[in-house]
Amino acid sequence: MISILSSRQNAEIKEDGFSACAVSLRNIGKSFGHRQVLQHIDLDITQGEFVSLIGPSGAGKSTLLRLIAGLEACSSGRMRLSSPVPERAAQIRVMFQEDRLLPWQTVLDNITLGAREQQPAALELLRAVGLQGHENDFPSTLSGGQKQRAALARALLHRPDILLLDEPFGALDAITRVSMQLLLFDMLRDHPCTVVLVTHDVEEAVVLSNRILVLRDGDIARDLVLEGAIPRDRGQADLATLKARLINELLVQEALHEAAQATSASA
Amino acid sequence: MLTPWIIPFVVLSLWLFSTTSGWIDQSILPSPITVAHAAYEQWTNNTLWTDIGVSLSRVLAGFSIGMLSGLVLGTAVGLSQFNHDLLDRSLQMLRTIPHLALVPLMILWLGIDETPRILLVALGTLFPVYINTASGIKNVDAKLLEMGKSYGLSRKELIKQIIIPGAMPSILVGIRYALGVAWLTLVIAETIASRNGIGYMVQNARELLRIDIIIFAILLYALAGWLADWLIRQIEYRVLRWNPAYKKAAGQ
Repeated sequence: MISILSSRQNAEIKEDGFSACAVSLRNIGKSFGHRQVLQHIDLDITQGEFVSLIGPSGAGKSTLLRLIAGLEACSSGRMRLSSPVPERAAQIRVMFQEDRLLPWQTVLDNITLGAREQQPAALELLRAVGLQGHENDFPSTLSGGQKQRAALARALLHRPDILLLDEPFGALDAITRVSMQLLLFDMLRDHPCTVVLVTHDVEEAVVLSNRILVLRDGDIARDLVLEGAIPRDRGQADLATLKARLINELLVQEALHEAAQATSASA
Repeated sequence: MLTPWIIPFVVLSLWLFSTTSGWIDQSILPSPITVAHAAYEQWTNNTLWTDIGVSLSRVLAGFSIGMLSGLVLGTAVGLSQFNHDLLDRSLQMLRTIPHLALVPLMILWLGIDETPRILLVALGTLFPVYINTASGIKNVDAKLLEMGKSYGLSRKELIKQIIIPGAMPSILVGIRYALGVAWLTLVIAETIASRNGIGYMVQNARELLRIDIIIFAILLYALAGWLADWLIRQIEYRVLRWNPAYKKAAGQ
């Protein structure tokens, strides 16, 4: 049974305005030129939480992820990322939709990028993601799924505190996508961390997450905390119900948005 | 396997047939056998290897200077916007001057010894390497650079692990093209009051109306150019073996 809390309890705020959460965002805004992509984002993500960001294209999902990753600078607001290890800066790794493996380096060299000394751990990770025997192969010889496995191993080698996933399984076929999702959870058992996933796939969000944030026009429109263990069984009847409800909400939002735009245009 | 040799074989057969059967006067185009005799004559004169050696050393010296300068300038301009703003426009203006037009100036300024010949070859080599290096570096996949940064690579590591390998296909195209230009330049440069080299062999043969030696020298240039190209291709296959296109070609 999946029960939904319409929003999570507020995290305890410290004197500096931030919480002790893994990710703490305060009044974050981001604009590109005159275009405001994100506005007034307040968000706390607790350690170990698996959060999915869903929403229509252009809602600001990937931008929010890139801000947390430090790949873009905020236009306004403040952000703090915390490690569960005291006195250590939070280790963040990103896995993108494209594998972004260096085509001129072998699989093993790709995985140990920025951490050459960790070769034994890398070989172990390669075995764990089912790529043993491919250590000395170039990425061009791997399939799409194998490349993403290598990219996942590369991200996890650094034992990140926060793993940011930008539609990493979006380009994979349905079967490979499910097997990658299962692999991700296998890997997270051994390398627990806070995960933020951007996805277009509502089912993926429902199956994998403790919490779903629905973004709309650069703001968090819905913050849903889902009870129960993850990953969820795809055969659960209420999973289909929840998925339908979320899709319905997105469609209603879309219709309301279009109606609002039509009204403002006619005015 | 034999396909690339079909056209040279047909041309050689036509050449042999047309000259030995009298269709073409041998004083206009000597037969391949006469050219082979001329080659043997040059060999036994002991001048052939000296001429080839001298030409090879000129092209090697000029090519090395031009290529290194092109690599250094291309890398500097590719990596830094300041260097680009400072150098690129001037270099592009210099590039538009045909380097062979500088032959008279070179003779007046630098005399008729080795320096102007080597400098001309270096000038011909510099610009193709410069342009391909600079544009190769500028066109490195920005997504890979972003990934490298997000994995904590320093600027030095980014250059070593992402920028240079990413620009390598373009750099090698520049080097390969530059090598062709180097040989072309050498042909002209060796006509400047030379006392040795393949170009001198041609000049000498022209004065003696020895068309067979001229044709032999042209064939020598072609062979040397082809060998140099082959060498660069082997380097390409080695350096770019990660690229499936090169792997396949190397296999062939």
